Amino acid sequence: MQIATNKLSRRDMLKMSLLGTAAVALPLERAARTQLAVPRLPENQLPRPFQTEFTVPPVAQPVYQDDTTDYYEMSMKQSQLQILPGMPKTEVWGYEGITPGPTIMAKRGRNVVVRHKNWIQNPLHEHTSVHLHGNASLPQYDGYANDTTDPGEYKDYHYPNGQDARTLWYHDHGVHVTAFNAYMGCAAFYISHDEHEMSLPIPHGRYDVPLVLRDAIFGTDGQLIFDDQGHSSLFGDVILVNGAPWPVMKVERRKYRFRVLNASISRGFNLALSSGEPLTVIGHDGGLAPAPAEVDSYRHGMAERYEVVIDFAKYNVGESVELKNLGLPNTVDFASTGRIMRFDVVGEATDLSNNEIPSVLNDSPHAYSPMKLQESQSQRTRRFQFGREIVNGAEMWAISTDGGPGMVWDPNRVDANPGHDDVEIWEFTNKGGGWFHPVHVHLVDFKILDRNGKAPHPWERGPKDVVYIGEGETVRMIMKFGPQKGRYMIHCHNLVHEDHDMMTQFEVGEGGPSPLSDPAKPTSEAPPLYTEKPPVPPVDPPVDNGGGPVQTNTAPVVEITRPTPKKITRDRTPSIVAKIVDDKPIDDKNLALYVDGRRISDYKFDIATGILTYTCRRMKLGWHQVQVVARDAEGEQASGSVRFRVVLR
Amino acid sequence: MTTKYLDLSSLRPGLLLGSGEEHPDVAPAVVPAVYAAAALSLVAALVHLWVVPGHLEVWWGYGAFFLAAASAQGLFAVALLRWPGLALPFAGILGNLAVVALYIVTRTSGVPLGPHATRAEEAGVLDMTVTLVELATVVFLLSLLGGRARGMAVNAVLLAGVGIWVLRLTGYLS
Repeated sequence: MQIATNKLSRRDMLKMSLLGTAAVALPLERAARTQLAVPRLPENQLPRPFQTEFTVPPVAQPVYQDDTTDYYEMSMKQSQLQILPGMPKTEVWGYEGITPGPTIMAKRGRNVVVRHKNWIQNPLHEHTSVHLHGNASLPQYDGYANDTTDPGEYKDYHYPNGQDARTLWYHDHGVHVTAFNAYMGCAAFYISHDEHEMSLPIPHGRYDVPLVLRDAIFGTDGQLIFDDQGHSSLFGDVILVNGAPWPVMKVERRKYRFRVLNASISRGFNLALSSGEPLTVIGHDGGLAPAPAEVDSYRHGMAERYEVVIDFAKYNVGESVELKNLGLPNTVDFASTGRIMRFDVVGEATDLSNNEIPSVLNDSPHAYSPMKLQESQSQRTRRFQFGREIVNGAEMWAISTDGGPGMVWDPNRVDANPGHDDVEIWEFTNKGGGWFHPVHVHLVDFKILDRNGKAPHPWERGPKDVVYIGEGETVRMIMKFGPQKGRYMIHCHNLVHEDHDMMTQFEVGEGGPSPLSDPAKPTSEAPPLYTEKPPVPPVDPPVDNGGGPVQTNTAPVVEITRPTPKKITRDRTPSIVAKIVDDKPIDDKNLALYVDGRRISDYKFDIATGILTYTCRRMKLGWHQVQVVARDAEGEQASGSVRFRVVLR
Repeated sequence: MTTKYLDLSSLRPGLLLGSGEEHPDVAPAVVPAVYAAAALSLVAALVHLWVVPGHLEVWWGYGAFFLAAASAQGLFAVALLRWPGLALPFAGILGNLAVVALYIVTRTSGVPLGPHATRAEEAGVLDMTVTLVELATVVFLLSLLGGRARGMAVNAVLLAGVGIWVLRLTGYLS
């Protein structure tokens, strides 16, 4: 056998070039084509700021309520929404087809069950998992990344509301697709109230305003463009507030409390008022701060929630003030991203109640509040590093634990195992490289001990569950693990980083339920969400030896004092005041307020005086009905109702 | 200088790899191309081996494929050094063509099976580099062939290239 070699002829090389060019050109051509299928909306065609009206997401109505639980049904579905003025409608994926989705209002001590149904029918949608961010849910209801619900399936999520009042939000958490699902709109508020919060003279009702901020990229066809720059980050040039681009909100000359949520995929905000007046931070991810903090500006990372009070009494009627974004390092800014929204002061305050900021907000005695934890209580310190590394031959976002190698998400690997009720200090380090990482720890609230050895910033000294780790920063936090046992996730909330693959998990104690123990099922197999409880039967009064009835318990007396019967009012947000009188104080749990047949849970009730108050959300013109039902401890029930009319003039 | 060629027409049916035949007429000029092809094949094998764990995490099938590819390319490299004059160059050309073709499919129409089926993988620096390494391997292997064997092999490469472009232009590869 003889071999030799001879150079390939030019003709041979030409023949082989077809395959060579195919191997190089076709993958690159596809990448370029899919990214630039529709051109991005150029800067000069972006909507002009402050041309849209500010709106608040609707409040979800439960489909049923019993004495312990509120039941909701939510359908994730795609729809076309008018987001950009003068442009075609935009396809979004949202809870009940809107984004942000409906706000769930919860009351501490009442359970909430939400049936989430996945009805998204788009080939780009793979699956979902719904995470209630900020709630100490059981593992199987925490939105575990691999606990997915496919299109056509449903899952019932059970939420205890045993924590301090706070601003939570529910959003997609499907493994490897969270960024895309959330970007398309799967996010909404979930607000939990408690007696302590409602008793404070801070703004409530219509002066307690949810604000969800996010950025987005739009194409010339009005559709969202998902460009994560090769799994790096997504930075949009359109700022949306509650789903509207740079809106304008009309305000009165008084304090407003804004529950600000940053639902961007990758953009952090550095918020300030254009007037230079301070913002007062009164709440954090885990609820009210121990004390308010006045700041000129503050850094707001993705998924963080801050409750911020702005006092518009400092401005005259007719004046306007902008909420601005001063920009942050490691973020791509555009000419359009320095502005967020505008407030127009349109009149004097129509209601000056609850218009204060007390010096003490929340001295929480909650067993798992981190605010009173001391370093001396910590049983160990764990160290996590967040960065970009080559993992298994590919460059990935990774987390290393206690000096180990950088690792990516693996549902079969646990990187920390604190004991139930253990107190630990966790240290998060961002090794640098040109990015920041807002890191979220599921299940727990934590207190930031220090940042690079110095005190935390004034705006981050409350209970938190997301911590901003800037480039080259090390942050130490203290937390107590509970009340649940089981596996929970830690991940960067730059959702592009999370998907590729900056996420790991810890396990609290032993013996907790598996996060996969209640999987989604086809909606065709869904049983009834709730079982209606039978009404309490009446009890005959006892008869004494003398033949007459004994002194029996009398039913409470319900009197609705405002609005008066058949009142005609121009107030689109009327206040309801009712007095409930009984021989013994009525428990709040035994009260029910209905407006137009819908049960309202976020009213205020003073047990001592028996006064119930509630400020209606904006009402339609026409006749409305208010009903208050009260039941005493012996089961005697009474109700009162009035009808009133809202007119334009 | 007399140029000598590997003449496939002289191959006997059933000729196996590893027959151990000596090649006393191999000229020193043969060695560089053999070494180059073997080295490049080894590089490709090592990269494929490196990515096995990551793909195994996604699906055992993906991990198994890369393990098989790495093994084949690694063994080929060793065998080529030992028996450069047999059917190995031709087999190496076909094998590398198959891998390159599969790469193009996975980066256009999508992975053919497994949990990522129909999802087109993104082209990255590492995978494109390995593909270029495999194409270079093919070039060096072709240079070991002569006469009709080389003509057949070049035409096979041409056919592969034409086929892929036709599929792309007719929309079967998107």
